[in-house]
Amino acid sequence: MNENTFEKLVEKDYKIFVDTSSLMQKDSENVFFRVIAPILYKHKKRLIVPKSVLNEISKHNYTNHPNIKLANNILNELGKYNLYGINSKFDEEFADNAITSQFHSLRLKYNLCLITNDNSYKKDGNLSQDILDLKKSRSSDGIKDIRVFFIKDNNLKEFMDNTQVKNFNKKKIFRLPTQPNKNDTQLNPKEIPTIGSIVTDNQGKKHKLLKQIGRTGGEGSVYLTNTNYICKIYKQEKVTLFRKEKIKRLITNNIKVKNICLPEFIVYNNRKEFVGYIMSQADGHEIKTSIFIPPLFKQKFPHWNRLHLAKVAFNILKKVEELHSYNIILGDINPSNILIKDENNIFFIDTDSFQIEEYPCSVGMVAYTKKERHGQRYENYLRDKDDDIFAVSVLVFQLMLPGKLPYSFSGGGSEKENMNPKNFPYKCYDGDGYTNAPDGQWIYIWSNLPRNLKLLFCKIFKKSEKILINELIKEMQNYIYQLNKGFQSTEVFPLTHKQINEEGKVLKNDFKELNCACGRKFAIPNKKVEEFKIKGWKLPTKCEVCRKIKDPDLKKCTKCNKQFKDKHNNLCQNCRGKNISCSSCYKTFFFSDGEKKFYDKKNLSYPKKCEECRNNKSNSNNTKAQPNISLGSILGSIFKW
Amino acid sequence: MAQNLMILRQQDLVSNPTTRLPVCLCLDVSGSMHGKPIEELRKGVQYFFEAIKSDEIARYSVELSIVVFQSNVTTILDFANIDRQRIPSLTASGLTSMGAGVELALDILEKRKSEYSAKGVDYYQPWMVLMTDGYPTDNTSNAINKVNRLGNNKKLTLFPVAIGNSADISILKEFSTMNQNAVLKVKSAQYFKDFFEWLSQSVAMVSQSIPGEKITAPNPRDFNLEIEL
Repeated sequence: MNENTFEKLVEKDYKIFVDTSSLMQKDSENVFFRVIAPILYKHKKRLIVPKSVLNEISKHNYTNHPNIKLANNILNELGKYNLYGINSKFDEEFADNAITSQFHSLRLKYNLCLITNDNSYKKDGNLSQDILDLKKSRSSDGIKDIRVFFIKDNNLKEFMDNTQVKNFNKKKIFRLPTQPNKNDTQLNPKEIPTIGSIVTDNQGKKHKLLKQIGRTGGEGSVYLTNTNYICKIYKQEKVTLFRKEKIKRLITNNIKVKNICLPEFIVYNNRKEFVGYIMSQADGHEIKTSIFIPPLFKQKFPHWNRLHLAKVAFNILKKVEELHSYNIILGDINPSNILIKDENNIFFIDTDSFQIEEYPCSVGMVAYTKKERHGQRYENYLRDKDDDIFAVSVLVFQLMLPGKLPYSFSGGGSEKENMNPKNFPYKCYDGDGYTNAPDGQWIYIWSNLPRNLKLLFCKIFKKSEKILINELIKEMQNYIYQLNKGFQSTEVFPLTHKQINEEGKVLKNDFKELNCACGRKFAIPNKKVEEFKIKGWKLPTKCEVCRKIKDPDLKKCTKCNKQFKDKHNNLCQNCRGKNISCSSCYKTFFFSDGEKKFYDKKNLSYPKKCEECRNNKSNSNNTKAQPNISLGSILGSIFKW
Repeated sequence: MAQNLMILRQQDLVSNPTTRLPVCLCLDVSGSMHGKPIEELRKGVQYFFEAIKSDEIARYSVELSIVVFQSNVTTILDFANIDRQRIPSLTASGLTSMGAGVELALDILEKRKSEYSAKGVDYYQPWMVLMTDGYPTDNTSNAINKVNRLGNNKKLTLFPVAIGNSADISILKEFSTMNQNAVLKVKSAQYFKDFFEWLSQSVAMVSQSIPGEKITAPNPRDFNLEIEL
C-alpha cells in the first residue's frame, strides 16, 4: 500500500531526500534495493542525499559504527546506477538542521518527500514531525506537499502527522488574572550572542546567527539564522524572568496563528543561559512607513485603493479576534508592529511583548492607549481586551484616513493633549458638525465612509463607549462588500464629500475636477457646478487649503477665537491689556490694548474710573440711560465726561 | 514668492499626517568661528540633513530650521519639507548675539507649532541645538528665562553644545534643559560630524517614540563628545 503511494510521489516528481537514520536500519538494504531502487529506476528519478548526511556517515565510518557498512553499501550500489545525487546547498554541521533548512526553503517550489527513521515520539521534536510541521507554519498558502516515510519491518511506511490530535489536547486557553505580577528580575546572562555566535534552542538544535535584521531596538537585536528562522537576542539588562516565562508559556501552550510571529523555541547561549527566542520570519512593510506616510504609501503600494485598505483592516481585526480567543492580550498594538506583504498577508511582530496571564505587556504608545490609562506605567497594570479594541480601533481609523490619528484637530497640540473625546473633530450624526476638523482631505474621507462604520468610530472615540471587536469586523465586512459591489467610492483620497442621488445611491465621480495654482487637485460636485451656473458665479480657482490662506500672519485669539494679525501676541487687542483700580469705587476694571489704541489715536488721557462710575457720571449729567457696552461708554466718556 | 512659499508650507502640513518634531539649530557664526571651524560646521550640518533624509521615518517627521547669530541674528533656513531645503553657506564675522539668537529660534519654533496646531497636525515638543565657541556679547537673561520656563513645562528640549575649550560653559549650563544642566562639548571642529551623527540618531529615536515618553538617547560619549556637568 505504502509502496504504491511512494511510487505515485516519485512519478509526480516529488524531490526525495534521505537522511542518515534511514540508511542505517537493519532492513535498510532490503528496502532500498527491493522497493526504492526499482521505482526510481523505472521513473528515471534520483534520491537526494544532503552532503551533511555523507559527512555524518563518514564520521560514523571513522568510529566504526556497526551499521555504517550498510549505509555505505547502499549508497555505493545506488551510485552504480546513478540513483542518487549529492546536495550541498546547506552544508551544516548537523544533518537534521540541513534537511530542515532545505525543506524550509524548497517547500515553496517543489513537492517534497523525506525518508527518515527519526520519528520517535518519546523525545520532543523528532525530524519527521518537524518536517511535517513545516506544512502548517505561516504563509502556508503557496506551499506544496510534504511527505515523510520510514523503514520498518522490511518495508517502506508513511509517517502520518498525528499531532493534530496531540495539539488539540495541548492547546490551552490562557487565564485572565486581574493583578499583574510585578516582581520581574534580571537574569544577568554572562554572554550575549551576536553575529557568528551559535545558540541552542530548547530542543537542542543549534542555530548560527548570520546577520542582523534592522537596527538594534530598545530590547535587543534580531538576527537571521542559518536555519532560516529569525532569532531575537535580548540586551543583557532585558533578559528577565518575565520574558522567559512568557515565551515558555507561549511555546508550551502550542498556540499557532498564521502570520503571527510567535516565539517557537527558547534560545540559550553557550552557558545554557536564556538569551532570546526563535520565530518565523515576517515579510512586508511596516504600516507606519508605508500606508501612514503618503509618499511612502504611493511608493510601496502604488495601485492600492480603498478595497485594499478595508481588507487590511479586516484581516488585522480577525487576527486580534483570534488571539483574544486564546486570551492573549496584544497590548502594544501599533503601526510599527504590523507588517503588510499584501492585503491578505499581514504579519504581527514583536509578539514577545504580548500580555500572557499575569505577565504584563510593558510597552505601549500613547495614541493607542485609552485616556483613562494615561499616566500609569504599562508594567503596573494588566490590560484587558477593551484596551486592545481601543488600540486596534485607532489603527483601523488610521487605515481609513491614512495615517491620521482620530483626535488630531485644528487648534490641537501634542498627541497626548489631543486625546480627549470632546476633541474628536468629525461629524457624528448627533447634531454637531465638523468641529475643528484638520485641514485637507480628511473630512472628505470621513464623509465617504459607510454610516455604520462612522457610528462605531463615534461610539468609541467621541462617546468613549465600549464596542465589540466583532462589531468592527462586521462593519468592515460590509464595507468590503459595498466596495466590491461599487456602492462606495474606492478612492483612497476622495476629492469631495459623499455624493448621493435622490434614490439614496452613492454617486461616483459626480464632480468637476479643477486644478489649483498650488498644484493640488480639487473638485466641485456637479450639483454645485449647476448652482454656480444658475447664479452666474465663477467657479472657484483655489483649493480649500489655499482659500484659507488669506494672510500668513492671521491667527486666532486664544481667548475669544477671533482672527487677528499680530506677530508677538496670542491674544487679540481686545483680550489683552491691564487691570486698573477705579479711582472712585476702587473696583478693578480691565483696560484693553484696543481701547488704549483708541485713546492714543484720539490723543485722550486714559480713564481712571471704571465703566460703571463713568456711566454713573454721564447718567447724572444726562438722564438718558447709556447702553451698557464698552464702546458706548468710551464714546460717552469722550463727549460728555 | 512669499505667498507661494506659504502655500507650500501649508501643503506639507495638510498632506502628511505624521507627528512632527521641529528642530532648530541655533549656531554661532561670530568672527571667532572664521576659517576651518565654520567650514567644518557647515559640513556637519550638511551631514545631519543627509542623515535625516536617509531615515524613512525621520524624513517625514523631523522638520529643520537654522538660526545664526553674529552681530545680528538671522533665520537662514526656515521650516519646510526637507526635500526642498538647501543649506545656505555660512560666513563667520562679528560679535556673538547669543541671547537674541535664542529668542529668534524660540519665535520660529513657536510659530511652527501654531501652524501645526492650526492644521490639526500633532507634534512633539521642539528641540533646539545651541552651538557656540565663545562668550555671548549681548544680554542673555531674557532668553535664559524663556528657555527655562519652557523647559520646566517640558515644552522645549535645548542641547547646549560648546565648541572647543573657550566656550562659556556657565552660560550654556543656564540654557541647558538636560539632566543636571549638562552641556555637550565638541572637542574641536573635526568632531562636528560625530556630534551631528549623535544628533541625527537621537532625533530619529524621538521621531519613532511616543510623544511625552522619556527616550534614551545614544550615549554622547560614544560619539567623541564630552559631557560637562
